[in-house]
Amino acid sequence: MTDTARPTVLRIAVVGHTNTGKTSLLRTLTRDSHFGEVSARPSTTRHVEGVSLGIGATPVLDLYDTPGMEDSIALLETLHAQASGSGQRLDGPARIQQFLHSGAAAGRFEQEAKVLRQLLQSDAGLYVIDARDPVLAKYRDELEILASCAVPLLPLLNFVRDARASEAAWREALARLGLHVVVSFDTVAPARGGERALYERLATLLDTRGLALLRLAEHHEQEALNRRGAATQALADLLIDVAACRVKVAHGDDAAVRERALADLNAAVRGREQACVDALLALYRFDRADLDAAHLPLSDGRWQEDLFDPATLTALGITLGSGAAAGAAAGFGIDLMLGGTTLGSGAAIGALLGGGLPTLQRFGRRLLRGVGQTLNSAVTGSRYLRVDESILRVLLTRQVQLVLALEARGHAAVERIVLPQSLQTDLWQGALPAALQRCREYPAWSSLRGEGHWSPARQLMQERIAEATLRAIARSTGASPS
Amino acid sequence: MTTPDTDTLSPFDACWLAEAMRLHALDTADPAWPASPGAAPDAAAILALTRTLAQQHGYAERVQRWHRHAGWLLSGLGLLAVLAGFAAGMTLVGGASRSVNVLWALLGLIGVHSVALLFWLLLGQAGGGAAGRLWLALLQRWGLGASPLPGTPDPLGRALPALLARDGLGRWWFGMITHTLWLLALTAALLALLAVLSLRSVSFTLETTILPPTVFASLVAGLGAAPAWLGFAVPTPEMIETALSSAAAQDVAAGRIWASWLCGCVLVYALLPRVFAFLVCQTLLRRRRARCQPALHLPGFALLPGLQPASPGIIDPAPAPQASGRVAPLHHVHSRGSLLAGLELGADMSWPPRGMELQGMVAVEDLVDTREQRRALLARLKSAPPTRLLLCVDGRLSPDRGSLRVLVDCSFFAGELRVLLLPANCPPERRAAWQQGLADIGLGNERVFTDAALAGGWLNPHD
Repeated sequence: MTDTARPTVLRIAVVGHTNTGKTSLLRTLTRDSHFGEVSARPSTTRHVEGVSLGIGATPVLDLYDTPGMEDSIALLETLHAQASGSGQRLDGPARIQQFLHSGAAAGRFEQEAKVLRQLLQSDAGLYVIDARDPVLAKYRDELEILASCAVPLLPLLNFVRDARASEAAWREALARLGLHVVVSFDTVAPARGGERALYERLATLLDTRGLALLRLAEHHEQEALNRRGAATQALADLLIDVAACRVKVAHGDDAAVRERALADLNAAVRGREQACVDALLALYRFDRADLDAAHLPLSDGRWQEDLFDPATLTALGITLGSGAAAGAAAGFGIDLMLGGTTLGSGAAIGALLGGGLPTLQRFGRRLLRGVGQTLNSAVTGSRYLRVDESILRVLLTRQVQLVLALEARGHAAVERIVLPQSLQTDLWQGALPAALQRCREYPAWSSLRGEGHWSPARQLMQERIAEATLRAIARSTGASPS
Repeated sequence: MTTPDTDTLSPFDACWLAEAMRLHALDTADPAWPASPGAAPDAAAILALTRTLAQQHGYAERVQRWHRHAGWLLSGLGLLAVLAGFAAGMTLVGGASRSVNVLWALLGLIGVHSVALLFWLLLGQAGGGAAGRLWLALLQRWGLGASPLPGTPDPLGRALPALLARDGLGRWWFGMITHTLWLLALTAALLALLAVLSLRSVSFTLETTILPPTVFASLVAGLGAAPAWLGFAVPTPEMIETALSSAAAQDVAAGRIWASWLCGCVLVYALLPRVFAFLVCQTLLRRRRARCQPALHLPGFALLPGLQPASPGIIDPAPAPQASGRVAPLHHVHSRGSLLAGLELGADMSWPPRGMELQGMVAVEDLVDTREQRRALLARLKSAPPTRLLLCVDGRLSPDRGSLRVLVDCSFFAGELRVLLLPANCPPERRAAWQQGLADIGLGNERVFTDAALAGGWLNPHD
């Protein structure tokens, strides 16, 4: 079916010994954590399953997951016996064909026969090796059998970063078998640029047809950039929602009422953070269900700690803002300055001298709002609670940690994401980005307590905050996402 | 109302729906939608697909609804502007007093407008077009109807500002709305002015407390210069003097000239600039809206069903479970002694295993790895079957049918076969896999050692 219907699509069979991570490799390359079934048990995959990678809806590459080779020593013996029994001089593929038509291919070696049949129909094979294993005779026999299919083979060393991995021994053994192009690729935590290296090596085996693979690699890198851009947009959205939020507390309210208002705001911010986590998981194609099963991330450990606990802030290396230092409720600035507009004369002069027209305009608005709120507050005697700057820093740091973890995570990973206990990086050294400061003046922009107001001005601020965050991430990690 | 006719969707609406569906896809991340890394097919495919999906989810109908509401809202605001403009015109020239301060009236008619226009010109993207922004804000609040995703911000509502910001449409759109309303207000004011001047006798005056008369002469002449090109009259210096002296009565001809000057100023300094600004905004908006393209690089489109290549799926189903056979039951063998052999052990492990005390009656076979070594082991077992055979395997590797079959084959040439998993600290999931595999061939846990000393004790003859 595939041969006739998709003639231009490259077909790559992923082969190897049982339990070396073939299905894991496919999950990571397809960014689909639901592909096939992965377990620590050997022989988990026993069928052949194809999955397409493409640019848009146009397939470029079909990858085929195959069962593991399990009994290669006996199979090679059988192949030799069949070859000498036939009395003809047969080449590799002919011998494999002879085997595939024999009874053994439907009996004892049915699983291996599926692998060989698929490899014969493919343009190339990826031979997945668990580099932690010693170079045993059975693996060499496996390679001998696969090589006789006369299909280009690219050995792929998995788990090379493990302490037990014997990469040099494997490379030497592979070279002795005539396999000189080898690629290292960790399926669970692929190195940055690892995917490109894999496709490039594969392309060298495929001559001109390999160009499609290079295009695919480029496409995936562009997608990684786009994903990071979208992640910072989601982050900026979260930050605006939290920064702009403002809760009114009447002057006459007693401590219990204020406590309740604090608790409500606390819950709203945490709910919003979880929503951002969910959005990021969806963006990077990981499952909340998986994360929940692994106690991730908000329901466990540090993440569950009260966002407004000073310990959380110090763990993240964020110094407490003035509001928090003042004390009553860590993390909240109870804004005594009537609605958060602090109009010192210094600020006014600074705005006049420094900023030119946009600042003046903003300043004018600020003045108007300040006056309005002063009147309002003077009449009703109310104050406003809003989320302190240091909380914004915590939110940003945690979400950036998550983004970086998701970027580095292969879709084969089953273990939970472990974020660094203390990332001693305050991404915004010094002041908050100006755009975020500005959002604090627009309570209507927050969707934390209500619908939220989606205006072009909010959108503009979101873009600016996202850009600032993107630059901050690049500065602190020195890394592009792919 | 009716089913939206999506064939006639404007490029802007199509992009709006595409953006909304993208946000919708990111918000729902519906697991039923197949995940695949494909993305960014051509724009036409995305637009066609999002169009269909938007219809299914009711977004297309909501966009139609938005347009209806936008029209109504604009009509309502326009009516208000007409009323306000007419009222302003009537108040400024048609008040109870028959004498009108002509510069004061002009300031009232075009002063606010000029400041607003100046702001629009200077502020641009950042804050101009306040009336347009109000119009959009009201529509965002009431024009969209219920979202199909309650609990999350409406994708349609979020998509619009995103689109306006991304393509720079906002400035021109808001500008057009604002200019439309100002045009209506100014036209109404001008009509009110004409109505009053047609039907009432008005005497125009100029008043001042501190300014010298020469200022008025140059001001009136200066303001009248541009309207004069269009044929409007300019009052003579004598008329200005007459208007300044409240005592003198104004003749009818002078009144006409003042009326012509006033109308000319409103037309040239208020209406025409607005008409021009309106036309610029309209042209740019129309052009940009027609050029609108979905931002294909944004993620989320890839999550839409139908935008990934179809995968071949399972093309060769799993075979029936394949057994490696079962080990021979315990049986009596003629020869005596015990044999220790290692199967596919890593080179990093000491041989014989550390911690194993062996007595003289225990023979130690070399490590078995290759086909030849396997044959040699079987040949040795056949020629002299031991009472007890202990095979050591590497517990860090995965058990496979081949290794298990070697164990089964060997069991037929020994009184009892037991297995030792090495090293002691092998990963628990691999050890469990071995124990399962060994149990499957009939070697229960009682015949599998994980401790070298215990295994050595069993191997040493003790009768």
